[in-house]
Amino acid sequence: MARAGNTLRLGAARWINETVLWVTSLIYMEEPLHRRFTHTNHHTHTWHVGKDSQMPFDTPMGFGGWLAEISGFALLRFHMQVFVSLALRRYSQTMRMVTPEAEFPKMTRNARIMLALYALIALSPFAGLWWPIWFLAIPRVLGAPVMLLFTLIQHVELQENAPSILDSTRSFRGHWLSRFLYMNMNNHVEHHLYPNVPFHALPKLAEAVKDQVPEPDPGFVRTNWEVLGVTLRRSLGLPTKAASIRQAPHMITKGGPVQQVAKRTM
Amino acid sequence: MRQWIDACAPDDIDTEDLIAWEYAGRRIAIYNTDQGFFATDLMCTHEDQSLEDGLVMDCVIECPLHGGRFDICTGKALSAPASTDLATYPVKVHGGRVWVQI
Ligand code: FES
Repeated sequence: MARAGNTLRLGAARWINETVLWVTSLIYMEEPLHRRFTHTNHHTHTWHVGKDSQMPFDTPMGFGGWLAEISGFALLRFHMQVFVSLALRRYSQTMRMVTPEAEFPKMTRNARIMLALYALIALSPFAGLWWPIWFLAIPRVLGAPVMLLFTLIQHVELQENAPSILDSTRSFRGHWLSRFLYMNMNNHVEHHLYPNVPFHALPKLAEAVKDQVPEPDPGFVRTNWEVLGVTLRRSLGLPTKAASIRQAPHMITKGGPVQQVAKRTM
Repeated sequence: MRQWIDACAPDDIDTEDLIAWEYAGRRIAIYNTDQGFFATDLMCTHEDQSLEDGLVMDCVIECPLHGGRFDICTGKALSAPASTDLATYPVKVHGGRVWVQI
């Protein structure tokens, strides 16, 4: 939802866009401007090693990487590190690479305010209030793994450093529920090709360009199931060809040791 | 010293549109809007993106890459992810030509 909110556009929709970004960032636990600038950078340098600041796992992915990603622990730890760095005015090389200099004071202010809010929420049970805890914990425990399964399959097993979005990005078919939950972002190739197209128009766009882009992979469950199988086999040193999902040529091996291509940047 | 440079004919730019123009190594966008002709730097201030294929709406240019918007008359950054203003240049129409002061 937040991803779609990041790219929602057109005059009157902008304030909705901003509201969605801020509210979801509070729940997602990431400083909103950090999220904005790393995400625009991800669109400019999609899956380019050393340039894309939103590569959430090492590639090729093994089972350990899958687990760290889907549990949400790796991401939560990263976001907490970002909060603390920003609050202490310690701006990393990646932050400096993607953020206009003038934004840093605002990011520091936001990080401090949000950390204070989280501290208040953590203390709220002492005042007999539990709902603020559930406000954060329920999305984190129930929502995050589902969201991460969605975001995992956007680029996993595809080509790093590819000049074409078609080689680095995956669209997949969507059941009505997954299309609804994911706000049509299953049309991910199309979203990266034309990021300014609002989420509600993505199915129409996908229809219009379907002859010029790769066939979407199977649905959410099947694609994730195949990815899980590949990561398990890779970790066990077994062949890594998936049954039907798209894979970059170097992701398909007959087994054996894996040569790392990219290190996670978030 | 700044000087007026003959850039193009008024008809070279459609209404609510812009052209990319280069002079002495400087890349400039010249706009034709309802409020007249204007000029700004051609490159977006957010990332390395030309505004040439951007959308002009009234006196606003929207960057084609991430949708950051700028006021064409003042260069002011209006919406994220653009946050640094664009440089602007004085423009006049004289003798059937569009002149930009650089
Ligand atoms: S490059 Fe223009 S808004 Fe990002």
